[in-house]
Amino acid sequence: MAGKGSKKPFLTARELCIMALLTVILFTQEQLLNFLPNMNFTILLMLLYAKALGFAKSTMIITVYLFFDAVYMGSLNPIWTTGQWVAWMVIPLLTCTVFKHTEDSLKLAFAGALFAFLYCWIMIVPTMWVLKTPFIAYLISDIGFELLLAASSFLGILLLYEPLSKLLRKLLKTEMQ
Amino acid sequence: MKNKKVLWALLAVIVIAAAYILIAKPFTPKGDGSITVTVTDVDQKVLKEKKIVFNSGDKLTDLVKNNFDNVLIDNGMLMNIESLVTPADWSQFISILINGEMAMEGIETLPYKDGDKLEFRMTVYDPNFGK
Repeated sequence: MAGKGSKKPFLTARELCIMALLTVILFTQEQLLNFLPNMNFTILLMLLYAKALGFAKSTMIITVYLFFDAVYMGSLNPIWTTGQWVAWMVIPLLTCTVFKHTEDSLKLAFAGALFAFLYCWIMIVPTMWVLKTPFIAYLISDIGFELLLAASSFLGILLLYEPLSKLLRKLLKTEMQ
Repeated sequence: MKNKKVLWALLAVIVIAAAYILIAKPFTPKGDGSITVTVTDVDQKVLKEKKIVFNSGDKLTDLVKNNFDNVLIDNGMLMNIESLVTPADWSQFISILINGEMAMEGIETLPYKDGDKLEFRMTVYDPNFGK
């Protein structure tokens, strides 16, 4: 309904509702897949959101998701949660810059695996700080979990990025009509 | 292109399976043996329990210092460990039990072997003990 020359608002009510639903999906899938160690669609969804919504809006989703996740899991801690936020923010940051024009699901799957390793490596710092874990012991014992997160993210992006991206873009486009 | 995707997907599945095997295999540090060390308060509530792997020649004092916080050994006596602190008036002290028996030696000379259970227990000083 915006008149000629009027600026499109940063966030419409419909967009806000969609973002809230996307946050719920992000949170719920992680809880549902909690029984599988480090296997979830978190990286796939964050990459998808960053691609479809851009940096600012995906940052909002990630921040809200992280807050609820930390409260629900009992891990809300200034050091730990800040570290986790920084680690997750690598995804929209790199997706909206380095991988901005990449749409090939295989390349994005490799990007997803990279995000998984970056997330795990960044989280070494708050883990050592909060839990006083020895660096080498943590690094060695985390290899298996890093591989799981990287491989499951790779697989998820490879198989699901294209259909989900089409679906989300369609959902967001209908607003314009 | 589709074949390439299938191959990569298969590779990812293999990596997931390998990673599962890797994390399912319990990691046990190599050593000549292990002892279980427990820190208990005056009500015998366990404050911390740890299985410590040792190599022959390891000093008990070093094992305890490396695995517990706030360890203070003064003149061969364990004064503090974790939240247990020997009061200045010695109304309480940290006693050492090995396999449930009161240790006959101090922490610096106490011999230990694989499978031993050590306990550092805060104990109220009884002036009539042994009388």
